[in-house]
Amino acid sequence: MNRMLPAALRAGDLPLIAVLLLLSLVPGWSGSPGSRGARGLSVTIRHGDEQYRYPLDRPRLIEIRGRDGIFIVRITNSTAAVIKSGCRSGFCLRMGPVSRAGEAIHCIPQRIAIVVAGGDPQFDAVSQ
Amino acid sequence: MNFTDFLERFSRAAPEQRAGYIAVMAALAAAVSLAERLIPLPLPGVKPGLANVVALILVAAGFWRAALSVTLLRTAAAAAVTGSLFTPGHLLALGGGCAAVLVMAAVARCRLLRCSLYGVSAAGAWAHTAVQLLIAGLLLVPLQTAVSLGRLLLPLAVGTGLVTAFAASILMGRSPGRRIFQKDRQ
Repeated sequence: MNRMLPAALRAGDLPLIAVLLLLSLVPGWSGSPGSRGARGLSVTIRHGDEQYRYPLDRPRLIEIRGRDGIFIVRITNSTAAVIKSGCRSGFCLRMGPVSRAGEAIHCIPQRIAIVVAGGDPQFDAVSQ
Repeated sequence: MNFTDFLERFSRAAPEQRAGYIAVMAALAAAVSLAERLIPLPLPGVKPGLANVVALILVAAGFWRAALSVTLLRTAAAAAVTGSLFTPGHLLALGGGCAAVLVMAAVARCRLLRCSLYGVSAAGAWAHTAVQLLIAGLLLVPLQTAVSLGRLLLPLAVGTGLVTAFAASILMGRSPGRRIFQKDRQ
């Protein structure tokens, strides 16, 4: 056997490693998970039989007159949150913001549901 | 007998005797692969890739077909032990491992590149991760998500490839005076 291992790097190693690192950046040209943000995500607000849909990447305030008073949803920084509700329990206020597809806030007394939809399906982990 | 002696015997063995050597090396690689699962991972999917050390050494010594056999057996054995034979996880390991061997063999045989074990290993680790992401994008997650993950995982793969090469060089013993990648012996 005349082929054995060299002790150190050879002339072609560093250029090859540099090319590999450059190639690694190619997938980033189409956007990383972080840079994709809320593109394609939307917030669906259901109030009784009515349903409204708003893009998650455009800030706005949505005011709805519910059974127990005014209900306000704020969309900002690619998140949606309830900032005012006339309901007695206030669980919907304490839910905090939602931003990922599938996340939802429900206010049972007001009969209002806020659901984030669209975008790529999210996953917690990939098992191998 | 160290691994260098073992490889020396393998290179001198008759073709019909090589199957036994390949089985031993596959068992060794599978054991390393299973032991590697016990190491806490900094990120999901990021592993040192020590299971590829045996394949890397075989490729570096010119036995890329044997390296391919070892990879096939190693992934099957590790998957059988963990109960994941023919699952997507097994397919990921198999596809990545075979791609790594083929790319390492191509880089090793290309005289124009003039790479050492480190370059060969880095290229193999990069191909390993790239093919795994491709398979994951086709079978498990949206392709765009898999491609986006590549921006994080592919540079890390180059680093783990260098770690694998370092481990291989320790296992083989550094031999400054001897050359690698000469005439193909297969």
